[in-house]
Amino acid sequence: MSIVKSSFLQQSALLKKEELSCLELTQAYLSRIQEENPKIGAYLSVCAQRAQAQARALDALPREEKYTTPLWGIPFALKDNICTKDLPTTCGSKMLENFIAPYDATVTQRLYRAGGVLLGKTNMDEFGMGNTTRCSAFCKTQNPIAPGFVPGGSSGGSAAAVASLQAPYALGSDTGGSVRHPAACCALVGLKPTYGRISRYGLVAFASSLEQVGVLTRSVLENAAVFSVLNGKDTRDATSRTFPSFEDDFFEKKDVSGLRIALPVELLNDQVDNAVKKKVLLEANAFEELDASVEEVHLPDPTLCLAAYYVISCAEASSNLARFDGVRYGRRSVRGTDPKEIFAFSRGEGFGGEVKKRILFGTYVLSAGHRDDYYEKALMQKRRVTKAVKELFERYDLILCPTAPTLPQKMDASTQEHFYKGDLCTVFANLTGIPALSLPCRESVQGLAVGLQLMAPHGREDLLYRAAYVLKQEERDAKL
Amino acid sequence: MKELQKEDIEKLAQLSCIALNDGEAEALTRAIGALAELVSPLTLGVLEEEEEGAIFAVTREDEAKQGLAREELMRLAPDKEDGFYRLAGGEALK
Repeated sequence: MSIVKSSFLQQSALLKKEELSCLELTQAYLSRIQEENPKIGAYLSVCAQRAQAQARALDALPREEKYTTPLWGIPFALKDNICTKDLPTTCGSKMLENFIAPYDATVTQRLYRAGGVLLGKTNMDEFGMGNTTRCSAFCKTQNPIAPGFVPGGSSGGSAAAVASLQAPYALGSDTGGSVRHPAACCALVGLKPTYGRISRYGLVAFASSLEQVGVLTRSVLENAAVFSVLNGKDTRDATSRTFPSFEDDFFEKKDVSGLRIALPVELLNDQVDNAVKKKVLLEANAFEELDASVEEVHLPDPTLCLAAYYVISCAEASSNLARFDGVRYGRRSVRGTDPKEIFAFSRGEGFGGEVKKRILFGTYVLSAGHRDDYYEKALMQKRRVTKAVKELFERYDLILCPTAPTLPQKMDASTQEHFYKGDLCTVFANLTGIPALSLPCRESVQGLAVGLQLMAPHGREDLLYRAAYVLKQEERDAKL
Repeated sequence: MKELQKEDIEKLAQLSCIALNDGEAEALTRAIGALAELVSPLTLGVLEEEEEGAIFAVTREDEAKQGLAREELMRLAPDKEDGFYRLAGGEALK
């Protein structure tokens, strides 16, 4: 069996037994990338020489310095908005087409220190704006399990890399669902952690109050292993916090009996496709068979929450992307005879349509005469839903709902409403800061994956992983 | 809510420092109009006062630390001179 089909926990065991070297493992993935990436388009750049050099250096270490973490010797991929020193970081945009980051993001550093080997940077919707990965300035990414369909977005490249065995795990970023949505489309496990759990230092900012680096894997155990390495306060990120230590022995508690699960009716109404609803409710029934209690509840109107998300994220984007002016780095237009023209032409040429739309809309909602009606009311809605969810978690342990209200779109679909509606179920976790995990439902719909989403109170990733692990019976039985 | 017109989009583009090509303003007028329509339910209802102390600033000690090397950062500049970023038309600002 090709080594790339194993989980990285199995690969780690082989490395420890010295039945496999880091170099062999890295080269296996580089071969896989060479074979699959032309068809899938997951990677924007591959650092083959550097990866092999990293692997050789790990192999050369004395034994007492090896195998220090479950990620030791394991290759990985990063979404191309996570800074990697001396390597491209394009954010899927012509604005940063030739940008070489001068520093490593904290998450990059932590994975290197844990013994990880970087394979390359993955495709994404430009600056994280989108949920199909079609908004990348460079290429389209195919859904590896459903060719002709989108892999979801904006971390679609990372999801496609993992789903097509071109990386054992990958990081993405999640501002309104951008890790969970591609996880759902590609039948993966995708975590958006509690806001402040994982450092955003070195993550190119889109909407700073909403986004977090997230983890994409094929199994719950692997996801938890990566999370436990990345988790932890970073003084370079002022929004990073200290949480109670993460107990990664959640899989020892092999039951969910007594767990109280809330099923929001607003996320299972006519805004959600019947096919998706049916598969998600099967999972809810499975929890009941495992002696968890599942009850219908009410959440604040999702369409208002979606509206608040778009107002806040566009407002923050208009501010965060103001730095891209062609002066200090990035694309500079050859047009323009004075600084103001250079800024405007550089930005006009560098940004794609979706990014321009969101920046202009963000400028609008912050402008005099509109700020109260849009931005302040969006913040009010954010406070309301945060309070409502906090109160809900006084009576329940988890919230269960679909990850996406529809099945993955066809690559050539063009409905805008469908596009924005895709975030309906995921924005709650970003507005409130709570952790959320997407995992594949046991049944697909005509070959298209359906994602189940679990949400937990702040800092309770352990509950997410425990419930997910117990539910994914086949993984538990396989004793990965 | 007043419907956005092409002139509004052009004004927003100016404020956002983004030069639009021919035809872009019309396309963006429709697209941004659709987005404004999506979020319009939010504009109904009354703005409530925020609770006291709900948000606080996170600060750190004011300690000088070594940042990224200047040369490292200047390497990224599209155009530079004597340690400064150089832009065309800069003479007009002197």
